[in-house]
Amino acid sequence: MALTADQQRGRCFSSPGTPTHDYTDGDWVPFTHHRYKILAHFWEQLGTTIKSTTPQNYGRCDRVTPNRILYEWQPHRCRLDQFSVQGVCEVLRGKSLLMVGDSTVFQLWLSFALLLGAQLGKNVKKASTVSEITASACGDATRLAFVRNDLVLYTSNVGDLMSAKRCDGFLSMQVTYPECMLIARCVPAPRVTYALSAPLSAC
Amino acid sequence: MHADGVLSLQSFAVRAARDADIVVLGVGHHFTGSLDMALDYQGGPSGAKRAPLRARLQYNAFLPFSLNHTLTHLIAAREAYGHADAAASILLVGISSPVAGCSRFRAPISLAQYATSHYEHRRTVDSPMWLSYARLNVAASYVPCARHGALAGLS
Repeated sequence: MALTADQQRGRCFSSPGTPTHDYTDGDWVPFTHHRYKILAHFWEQLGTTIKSTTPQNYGRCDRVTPNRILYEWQPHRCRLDQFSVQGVCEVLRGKSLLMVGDSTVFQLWLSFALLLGAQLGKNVKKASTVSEITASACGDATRLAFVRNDLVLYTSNVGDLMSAKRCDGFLSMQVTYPECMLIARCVPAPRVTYALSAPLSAC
Repeated sequence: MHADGVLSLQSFAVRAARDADIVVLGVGHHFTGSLDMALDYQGGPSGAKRAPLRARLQYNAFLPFSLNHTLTHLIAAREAYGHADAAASILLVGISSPVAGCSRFRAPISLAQYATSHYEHRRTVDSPMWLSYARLNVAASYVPCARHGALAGLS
């Protein structure tokens, strides 16, 4: 069987992170097969209070322009590997993947889970913000989890997280908590302390 | 002043240190938004432009210090839990670059169009938060490479 022009081009990466060709020279080309759509009832299934009109509804484009064209990047001199559920599942089989971050990282997690056709669980609480959620992918051989932490603040002490939240709340309440007067001092593990008065060298 | 607290901070230590084979950490838009508000508060009614120099320095220092703290303790904890090559199993995702007025575009735009829309946005809307993204991505790239032996920074 003759190779297509796309197949004749070499792969852009010989291994992850090692480009073999200039993949930045190329064009956006229409991508015809939509892999997933987020419809309004999706958020209720996730156990959230997100409605079709709220900002957290990332599927708004699917609702407003259901037949819009999507695009993918096609380099001129090489080819990028297509996203393959089988390929991803081979790599992640028997593994657990955790993503931590803010709402933009949740979008990344959600897109990845939906691309894999994962079975999504429910949000840890019924709210408009997805704070903790898990999903099962690859025939239940891969676990995907997301935890919302806007500062990616690692601590084994819940009190530290409460301190940061209190500092965040004070911004709206306009109540002065001296320890909250801007953020950030890192003291030796495992505690993270928030204080204005701390010298930067303390970190 | 913002109507209510914006930070969402769930604990992820045990999952990240013990349970997960691969951990993806993302520093994102809320990070700069929250710090901007903190800096605004420091400046009083006149906002960030009048914030004390010390506060602005701490603002700039927050991400490198916080990220260094998180990576240091996460790597150590994962090693303690027996994860082989703990550092290599942690990925860091930087802040995505927003496109001004992206709802106007129905197809990918050129770099020149991006620059124009960005300039128009800067001309009409004061958005220091956007300016922070590039700087914070540099910081987020530096910390893993310089302090934790990462193979490649954010690109």
